[in-house]
Amino acid sequence: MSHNIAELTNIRKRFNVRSVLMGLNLNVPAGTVLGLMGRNGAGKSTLIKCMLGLLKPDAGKATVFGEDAWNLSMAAKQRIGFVPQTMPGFRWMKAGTFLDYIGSYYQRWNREKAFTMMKEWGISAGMRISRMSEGEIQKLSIIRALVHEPGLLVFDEPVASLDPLARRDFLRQIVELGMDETRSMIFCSHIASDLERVASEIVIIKDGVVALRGELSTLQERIRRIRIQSNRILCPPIPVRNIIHSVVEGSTAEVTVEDVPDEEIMSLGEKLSARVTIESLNLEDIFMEVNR
Amino acid sequence: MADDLRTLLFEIKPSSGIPIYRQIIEQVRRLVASGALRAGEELPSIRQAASHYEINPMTISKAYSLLEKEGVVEHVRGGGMRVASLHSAARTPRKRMDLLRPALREVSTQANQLGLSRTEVLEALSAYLEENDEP
Repeated sequence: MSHNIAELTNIRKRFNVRSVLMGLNLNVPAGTVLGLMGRNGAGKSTLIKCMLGLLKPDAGKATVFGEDAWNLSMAAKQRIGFVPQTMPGFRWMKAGTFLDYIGSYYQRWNREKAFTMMKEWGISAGMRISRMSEGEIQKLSIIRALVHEPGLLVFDEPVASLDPLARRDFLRQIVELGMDETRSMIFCSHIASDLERVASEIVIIKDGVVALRGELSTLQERIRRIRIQSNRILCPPIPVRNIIHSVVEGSTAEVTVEDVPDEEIMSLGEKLSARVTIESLNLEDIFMEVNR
Repeated sequence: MADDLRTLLFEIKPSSGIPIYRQIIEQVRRLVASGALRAGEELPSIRQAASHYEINPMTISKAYSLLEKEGVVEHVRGGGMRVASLHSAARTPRKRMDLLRPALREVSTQANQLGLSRTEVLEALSAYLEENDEP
């Protein structure tokens, strides 16, 4: 049922001496909203640019809609929407003229939707882009990427300059666009709570590869934090499998584990004569654990 | 009007650490057990709930399908979900107790952490129970 809208296979990319992507694999099945996370410089933007044919990988294969990303046909390009971190150029244009100009390149441009969104987000068509705030430019950039109903929508930090109201509006747009099961989205953001809301899957990249991927609720059930309070001094290591990270201080310990059943965790209580509690993690916690 | 009420049912906290689908399941169970949601009442559709709470539709459909498996809700012709009529009959004391268990476990953990004795905790709990018994 689910074919892949985009596929990255063993992608490598380096800039001078710095290797950014080191054999990265990522498939984007139809109907998914991928929440892409990674530390600054982890290679999120590079990954996106390789996927969209804006950067040529040194090695590996990138395909979109089954075509080679570096040689996309016009038809394939028409089905991509991209909101980059910063919108290049066009500063001298007025908002309305800008959208009409961009629209002239697209067969499926929905001009009415573009102007309705502009109105809803408080941007007047006659405003010159050079006079706009960062947030307003970001809104315009989002409108530009949405209204030709693309099959692949990619947002690179789209909400950084949006006010909270516009951000929630934007999230609602994402949810509604995501109801079309033929469409896929990649949403790159540091705002974990936004990804918790709208992403169907989380992808965390680290050291040039995908370090963790999965449905958020599955990740939350797999990765747990254990708090141990014993009545004697604890000696590391704590006798439990699959430790991601552990801190032992005197008679207390905090241990993060992956894929350990609750019963096994609770059995630590007897082994260490300790009180054991299991804590579930939110996405920000999981991100921190992966990047320790 | 009714629509507005139904979409305001849930309280979603994305970063609480509890998976969102589990938050929905627990809230529906509790609303049904307390009678706030009655048999035959419809839940917000997946689309409605997704755009109202700005959460991925798959999260809601996961919650609904698990609730359906439990027999708490059932499909309505036309695609919606409503509180199952069977569920009111199945509201045995045991099931109601199951709903209370997570809260009890939490109390016992905290009591433990605070180093309170069993007698102290039970005494405090029965005081609360008595308080609620009084009309």
